[in-house]
Amino acid sequence: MFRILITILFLLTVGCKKESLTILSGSENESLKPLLEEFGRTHGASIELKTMGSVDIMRRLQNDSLSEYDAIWPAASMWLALGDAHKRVSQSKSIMTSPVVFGIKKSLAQKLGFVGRDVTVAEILAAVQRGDLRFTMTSATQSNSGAMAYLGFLSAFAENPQTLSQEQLQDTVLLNRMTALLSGINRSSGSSGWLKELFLKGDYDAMVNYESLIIETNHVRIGRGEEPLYIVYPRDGLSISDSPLGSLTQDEKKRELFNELQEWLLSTPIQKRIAAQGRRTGLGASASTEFMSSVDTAWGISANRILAPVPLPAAAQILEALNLYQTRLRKPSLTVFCLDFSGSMEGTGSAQLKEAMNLLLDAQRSKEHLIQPGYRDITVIIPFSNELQPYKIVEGNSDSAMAELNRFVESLEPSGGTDIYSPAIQALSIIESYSETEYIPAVVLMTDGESNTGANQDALRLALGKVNRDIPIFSISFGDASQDQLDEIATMSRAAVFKGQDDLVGAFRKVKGYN
Amino acid sequence: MKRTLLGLLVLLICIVAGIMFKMKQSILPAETVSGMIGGEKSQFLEDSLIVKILRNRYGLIVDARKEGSIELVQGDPKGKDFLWPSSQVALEIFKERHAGVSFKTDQIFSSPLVLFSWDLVTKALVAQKYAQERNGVWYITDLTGLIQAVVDGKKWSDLGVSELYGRVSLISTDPNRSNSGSLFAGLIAALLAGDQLNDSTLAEVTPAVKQYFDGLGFMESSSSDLFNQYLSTGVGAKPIIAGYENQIIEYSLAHPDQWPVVKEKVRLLYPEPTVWSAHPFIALTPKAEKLMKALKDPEIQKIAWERHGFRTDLVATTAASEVNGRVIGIAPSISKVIPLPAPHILNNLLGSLKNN
Repeated sequence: MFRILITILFLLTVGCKKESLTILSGSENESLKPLLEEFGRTHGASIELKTMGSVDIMRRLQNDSLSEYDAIWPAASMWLALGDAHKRVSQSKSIMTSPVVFGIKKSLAQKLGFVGRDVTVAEILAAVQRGDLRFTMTSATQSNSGAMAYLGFLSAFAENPQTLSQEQLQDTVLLNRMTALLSGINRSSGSSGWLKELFLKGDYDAMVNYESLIIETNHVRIGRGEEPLYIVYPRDGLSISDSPLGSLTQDEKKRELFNELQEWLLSTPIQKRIAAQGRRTGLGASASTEFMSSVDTAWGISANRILAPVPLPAAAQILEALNLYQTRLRKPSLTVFCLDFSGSMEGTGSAQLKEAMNLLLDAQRSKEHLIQPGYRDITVIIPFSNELQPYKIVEGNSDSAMAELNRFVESLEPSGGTDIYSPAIQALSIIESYSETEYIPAVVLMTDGESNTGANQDALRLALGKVNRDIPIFSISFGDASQDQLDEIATMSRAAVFKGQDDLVGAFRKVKGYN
Repeated sequence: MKRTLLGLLVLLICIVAGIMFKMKQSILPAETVSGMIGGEKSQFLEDSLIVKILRNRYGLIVDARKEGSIELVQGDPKGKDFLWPSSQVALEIFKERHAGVSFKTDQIFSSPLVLFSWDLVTKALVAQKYAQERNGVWYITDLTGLIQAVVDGKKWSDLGVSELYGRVSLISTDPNRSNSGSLFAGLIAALLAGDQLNDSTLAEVTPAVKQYFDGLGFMESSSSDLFNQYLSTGVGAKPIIAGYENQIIEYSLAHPDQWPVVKEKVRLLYPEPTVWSAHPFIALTPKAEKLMKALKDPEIQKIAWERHGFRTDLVATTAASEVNGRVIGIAPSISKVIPLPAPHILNNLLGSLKNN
């Protein structure tokens, strides 16, 4: 009898399905995951965070149903306003704020005379032009921190007008100064979270990122006994991201859960804990006691500083500015694609690969994703199997050059075995023949198999050491690619592996945002 | 054994609670009234006190969806019981658009257009004679002068605010997408025309209004988004914004934790003269007429003011007292008000502000 009752009770409990919420979010919220898990535990729900770059979030909002997501949490409300043409986002509220700043190794900041005073973007430019400062920054067309920093710099170079006009975006003096500033970038990335990780792995001098991520970086560096980064808030080119969390769901239960989550995140105790993680919460981007206790004033953070960001230009000018960044102003990329045309790629594999390359090389399609090549870019394609095949180099972005590359890819036929190391080594030697300071280089190695012939890992490591430049070898895995081999290559070159099994085109698109 | 008994008990309680819940629901048969509202009223309609009165006293359940006031009156009203925009202009547009549709209308409540700023900035505005404090209430006495300072590209340092970097700004929502923005555009135009806004004076003042709005760059499309950003990003990012009086009153109740800090820093500034954002209810079905009458229930009207800051006929009698104790600087009455420009004039003005 009791047993039956217990069974009934058990079934009742199972019947009460756990409610879940899937949030489409910027990568900078990654470090709040434990907090979201805690909410899930205490509220009997499961909260899942799926991260994506801001430009992608905007695009998805414009074009897709987004039915797999219940809520949206981009880095700044600018992307909601630009993307939410169908008014699907409701109840969006800022959870926290963080300014986009320069973090510069303290000793270098001191040498540059940037400590303890206001610094203008022009002074930063001067340091770059003297060759005293190089920095890492995310791509303005892929990531919010890069976009906001870039728009802030533009405003500063235009002498802080009320708003940036179309004429100013055509002013050669302004554009040249912007180009000169961006030439100081030594590594880029499609995501601010990844940039922070990269910074911690390598030996870089400075980084443009959220104040919150610089604070996180400093905690790790101090723990390792390294000097902290000093935070410079460019006086005339500052931006603040406001991290709005909005609802996408029409489902009543999910909506309730969303409301609970939003209220919980905005409740005083949780806001204090978020502040203790280096985010600004509460009124007016102020530095609360909890926030200040998570930082060291020696890092350049002051409780009294009023953050005065530059106003954002109108939507049309923002989009125009992003286009300009991609095609004209950013430091040119030198990208070597090593494409696997071994026998196993026969059929859908090679068809998808050709489709992906078409997206990158086609002027119209690449523009939609703001990954179009610029006029100074260099694109190299090395097809490989168990042996190297003739490669092709194209400089610039002219229609005819891009069409030629496209035809080249189209003509490739799969056959033979797999050697991923030889093409990577060749890619390094091609990059070595170009100036180290003029380009942001990257190798993109796409493969669907395990390397079992030809060169090996040690040979690649040796070649990388010989070149002695900071060249990331990104990989895109497909089919039965060896994750171990690719992870090892990513580790030795401070790069990343993108999984192309489910969406090869998407993986290519993503990787293109990293240089 | 003990655990089993506990489980049984929980089960029993659940069943009883379920039955009681069902019984309570069936006290009064309810009908659902559905329609479209301007977003600024959603918190009011979701207020559990309002929901309860409508349900228990009038047998009404409201199903409201949000849309911009101007957009919602232009759509097809078929299948909807009511429309509830946030301005008289929207009502006029509805009449023009849907000439054959029969409806009843009533003014439920209203809220004046105001500016929100900060203690630091307000001090400077008073010193520069753009604003004045009278009996603990701040008024913008020279809105045209302030707009001119913005258009002229004056810097905060010119106004004596050395703490702020950059140019003087007064931020509005997009006049073509948001009601508060369109009201603000109408107010500025009327002031520039010396309160004589007609077809010919409109042409004279339009360039200045356009220059002001073009200078704003990126504009939010919703007054609640702008208000939230004003609070979250602060005096450096949003030194002065345009909004509705009711926003600050609603906020003060919804955020009791934050309010003591916010109260000391934010400033509510009444332009003299200002314009009303009215909330005309458009009832398209008999069900909606019932709702329209119910919304005039004295208790609902009292809640509308005290908890959501919408001014009703009762404000004068219940006095601003309770609200005044909470929010600093609520004007006891709004006396200097100018009428909104005629709909076709406002339409022409908004049209010429469109280009980007």
